[in-house]
Amino acid sequence: MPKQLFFGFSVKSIIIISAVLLVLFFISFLSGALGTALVGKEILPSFLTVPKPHPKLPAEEILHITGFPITNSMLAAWITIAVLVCLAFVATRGMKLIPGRLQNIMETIVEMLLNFVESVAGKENGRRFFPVIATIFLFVIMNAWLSLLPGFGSIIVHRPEGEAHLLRGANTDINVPLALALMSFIFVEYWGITSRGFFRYMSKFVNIGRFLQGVGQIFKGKLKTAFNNLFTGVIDTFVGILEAMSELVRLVSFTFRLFGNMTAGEILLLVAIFLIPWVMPIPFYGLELLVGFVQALIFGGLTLVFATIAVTPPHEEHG
Amino acid sequence: MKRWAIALQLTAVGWYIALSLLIPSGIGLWLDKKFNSLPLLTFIGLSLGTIIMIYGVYRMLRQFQAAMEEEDRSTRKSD
Repeated sequence: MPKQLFFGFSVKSIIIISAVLLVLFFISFLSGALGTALVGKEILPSFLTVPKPHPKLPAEEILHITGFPITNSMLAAWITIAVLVCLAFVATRGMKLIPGRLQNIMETIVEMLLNFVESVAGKENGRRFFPVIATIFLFVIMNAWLSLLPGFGSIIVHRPEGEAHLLRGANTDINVPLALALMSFIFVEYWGITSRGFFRYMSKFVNIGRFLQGVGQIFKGKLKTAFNNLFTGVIDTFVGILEAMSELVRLVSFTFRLFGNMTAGEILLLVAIFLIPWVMPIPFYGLELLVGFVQALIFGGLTLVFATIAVTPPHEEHG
Repeated sequence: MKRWAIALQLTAVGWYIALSLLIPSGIGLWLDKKFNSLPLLTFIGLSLGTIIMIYGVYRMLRQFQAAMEEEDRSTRKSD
């Protein structure tokens, strides 16, 4: 009789695996806050229990170099940059026509991003936007995924002001999303100005030409057309204010979306670890992988969409 | 432009509504405190903000609708 298999495992190994998992779950439940509260007292040795988390919103300063503070999120961002640069360097060091494994992965990633950018912005603009969009995407996703590794939030540094974590996900410090948002803002305006001309681009925000024309026509005595022009001029001005407003809102929403999602994820993980360590964080780690990807995609994609809108003349936008 | 690309812009609609109400009313309140005319300018700012909000959201949705109609037309053409 052939051995019965479930998902490729024999019955015996399945029993062993589930027994180990059950014991692990039981111990982790007892060592967490939930189990301790249920039992009433800590029955496990203290190295197994989890201390209460103290999430802090501002990043902590680790050291000062000639008065310039270095925070833990800055260190994490530098590590991200180093990882990305090293990956790119190693993958492109000895490029072959028939790529090796690493080169193949990198080529796939770059090709996917390029296809994504070109599908929205078109061939010519896509090539222009691609470096910035891809950089934003890779930086955000690497920040998010690296901060899930052990070492982030677990290595403690002793400073004169007290203890602090050595590393902290760079996206959870509001300065990093703000810097990225400013960068995306500046690039969008730059592309808009260079491809449509400074005055034509700015007329989107300060649109008082029709209004002034109407005022001029009042003095010339053409009252009917003047009134028409004044009315549409007021609406034009109003739309200009609207555009400027949505440009500002973009900055804020970019910043807070990334910061909020990443910080919430970090705190969610901390709480999950505190309540039932070892077992409960596992699905949330999976969730955080997804959230990191989605946030990177949204940040890059929105920059791309706004850039595409900025370079298209207004009458084509609706047609 | 693709439909999803325009729909992606709607992710900012919450902030747009909140800030387009808050910024004009904030400016109104600041001016009110300066000129000591308390409820008047705040209300003017608030109503201006409401108009900006409604019109802005309407424009965003219209953009989305235009893209959808265009997509419909192009699929009908290819049939």
